[in-house]
Amino acid sequence: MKRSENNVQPGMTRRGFLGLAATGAVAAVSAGLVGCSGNGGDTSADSSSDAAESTSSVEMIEADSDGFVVRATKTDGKAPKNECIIAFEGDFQEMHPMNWSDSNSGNVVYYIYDCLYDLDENYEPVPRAAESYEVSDDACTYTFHLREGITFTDGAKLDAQAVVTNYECAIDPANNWRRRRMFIESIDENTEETRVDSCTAVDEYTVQFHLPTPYAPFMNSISQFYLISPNAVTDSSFDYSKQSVGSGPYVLEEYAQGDHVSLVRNEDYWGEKPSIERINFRVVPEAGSRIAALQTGEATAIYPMPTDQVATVRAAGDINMISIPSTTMRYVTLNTDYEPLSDVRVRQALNYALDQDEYVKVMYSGAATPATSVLPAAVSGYKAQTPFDVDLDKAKSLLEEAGYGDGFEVTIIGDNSTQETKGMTFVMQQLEKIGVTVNVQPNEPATNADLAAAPEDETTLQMWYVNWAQNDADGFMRSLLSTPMVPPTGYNTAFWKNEEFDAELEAGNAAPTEEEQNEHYGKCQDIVWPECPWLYLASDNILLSYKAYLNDVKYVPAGIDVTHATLNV
Amino acid sequence: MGKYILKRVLSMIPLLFVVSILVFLFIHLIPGDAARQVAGATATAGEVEAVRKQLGLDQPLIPQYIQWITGIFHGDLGISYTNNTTVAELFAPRLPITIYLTICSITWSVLIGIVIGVVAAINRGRTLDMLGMLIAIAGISLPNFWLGLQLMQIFSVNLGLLPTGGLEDWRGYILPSLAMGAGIMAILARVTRSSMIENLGKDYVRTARAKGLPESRVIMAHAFKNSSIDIITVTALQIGALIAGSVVVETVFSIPGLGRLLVDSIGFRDYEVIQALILFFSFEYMVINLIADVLYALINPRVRYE
Repeated sequence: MKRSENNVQPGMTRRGFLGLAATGAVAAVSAGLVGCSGNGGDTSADSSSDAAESTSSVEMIEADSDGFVVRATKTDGKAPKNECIIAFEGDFQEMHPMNWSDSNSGNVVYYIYDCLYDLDENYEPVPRAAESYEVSDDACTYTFHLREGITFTDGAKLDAQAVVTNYECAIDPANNWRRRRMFIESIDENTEETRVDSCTAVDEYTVQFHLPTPYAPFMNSISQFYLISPNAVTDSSFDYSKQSVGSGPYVLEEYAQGDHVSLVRNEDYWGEKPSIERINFRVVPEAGSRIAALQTGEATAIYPMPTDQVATVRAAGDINMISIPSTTMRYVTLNTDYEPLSDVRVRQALNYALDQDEYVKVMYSGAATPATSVLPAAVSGYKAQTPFDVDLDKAKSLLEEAGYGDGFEVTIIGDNSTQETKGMTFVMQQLEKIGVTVNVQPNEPATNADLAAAPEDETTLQMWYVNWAQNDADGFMRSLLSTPMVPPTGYNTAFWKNEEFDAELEAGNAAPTEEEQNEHYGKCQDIVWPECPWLYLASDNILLSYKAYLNDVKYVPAGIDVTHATLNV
Repeated sequence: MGKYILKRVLSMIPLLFVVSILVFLFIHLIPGDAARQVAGATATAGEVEAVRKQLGLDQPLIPQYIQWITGIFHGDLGISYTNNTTVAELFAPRLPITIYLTICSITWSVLIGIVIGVVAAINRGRTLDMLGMLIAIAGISLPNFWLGLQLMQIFSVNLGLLPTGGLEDWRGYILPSLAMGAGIMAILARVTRSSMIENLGKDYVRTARAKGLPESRVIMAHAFKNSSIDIITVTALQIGALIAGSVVVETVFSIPGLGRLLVDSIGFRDYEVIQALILFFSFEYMVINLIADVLYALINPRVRYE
């Protein structure tokens, strides 16, 4: 192993970076960090040329047809014990199956609690606690037939009544659990939109959900509706961070916030018993440390895999790296109220000026897909659009037509992490080519959230470098582009309003079959794409690296899935 | 002396009170909305409002402050918005980790720093001096996160001797302590050296030598004892800086200590956790300074406190 190959680059994570800003730790920290913090506020052209240059030294990430970027060459390694250790970048904030909000916690909850239906890696529903389901012709009644003989770890039966009890607790405003939004969306203080009217037990193992109007992403909600033992779910003093009462393949062993969550196999699991005895989710915030832990075997898998460390993984020889398309879309919202972004020609010009392929290379070392619609290609209902291939002449003439032949000045805000700042700087550099001056303003994330929530008549937003991840077409477009979701209610931060689009979205939601839904959602995309409420960037891939002694790891919408994986011990 | 210490301890109370007001105001006035953070990135306005009510953040600032500070006097540090655990519960596992790490870092760095400084001063201008100062310059210049990553690369990945993170046993403390203490070691080496050189040139040292004291006694009992005042001052200041350094090192070595908790809490606008942490750090700083002041008097009998 050559030293130069695994030389860990001192890339600061956002956490470390914020810490410095937060504690004002100038005294303790010397020159190197001051250089880093320069990235936060510095918007000079120098740093952007650094960004562009860095691509040449970093290996491009290209996956083969099976999604492998790196295939291990040494495959005879053995795991130290029958335990899968997964190192995550972020923390696990909450073990409550109906109150979690971060996706890492969601990944853990997925192992402990059963939902009626899961989503598989292709976002298709697969049976879990229910064996089958039917939808009525009007798409308003969903009937689930539960598997018989499932019990929670406290002995309670998972039957129709248990599901009803869970539903009632989930929608109870007194609980105010975050997952309440599976069934009820609260628009503002006085308005709530109910997705489900009632949930009733038809017989011991049949449960019915009645919807007031068809709701296309309902199965999505069901896949996040984790069932808790009725004894616990009705007990407000139950502490989910100390123990678990699910019926899933694993049970909670220990939860130490900020450090790790460990799960052990549920020996009474109703389904096929997992082969791996113990799963340990560790928090390893620093990218270089995650790679090091994977090299030494202190981690079996790491997520996310830093894009600039492919060479290290390749050199190690006993590590596989896979790349999976994600449902995350990266874009810049263009405030369509703000002059000159209010002119569609200007917005199109910006899109003609920005080189998406270059963006993918510079920002993700190739591990991303240029945006070809407002939806990521992985989201069901996606419809490919004609991309705005780079055409500077066209961009310039569009600007001229709009009366901005000499360009204009605009401010872009975004999070102050190294990666996001680099992205904004990239946008600045690209738009410079057509004479548009972009002022880059990185802010702390919570500040941006505040700026974005300002109502239309008060907003100061011009451009916002941001991303969104959601796996249903309806929710994705509704939250970001529909008229009712203009801030402060939702995240239509382009303030783009189009009646035809709204109507198609509603029609899609009301359509009973997936085919019909997708037809309407396709029309939505046809309408919005040429309107350019966004500067279209890319959808990044999920990069996962793991030791060759781990087999059959999967990435499902809930996160990393090793339920059916095995370890060579 | 006892009266002096008592007076100093009592004077901490109003000071902490002022800190509490400042901290409270600062974090409530900076942009960023705790309710929005708690509700999650995809929450609608209605959901955010519901959370705001639930957390009591819809109340004016003054009642919020009074409620919080009354809680503090009753020993209730508040709750974390992220998952409703009490701040005390969050602190309990982290506090010993941070304290232990601080002690480890300080111990080795002070010992080695002093040794390097004394040796360099005695051998002023010679190879040992240069070598010592080279180490010191390196220690000051290398950012601790970079040093941490390099140590991890060498001792964990290449040699397989020590873990890359986590604190399962004592071996887990070695690399973080090294990374955290390197800067202090370097600063102490430089301070000790310059202070020793100054003291070794003083008249009382010449007198000591003239009356035939062995050189070791001249150096340790006379010159070094006088230098130790400077050393204590610098050490006390550096322990304060360690709190900041710990944020970075805790991140690099995935250590769930108070430093990382502070950073995470600020990102999340977890007000009560931030408030409690800053109060605690202020308190720690005051105690360390008090200890330093008391040590001055013990070392130098001419220092007297009213």
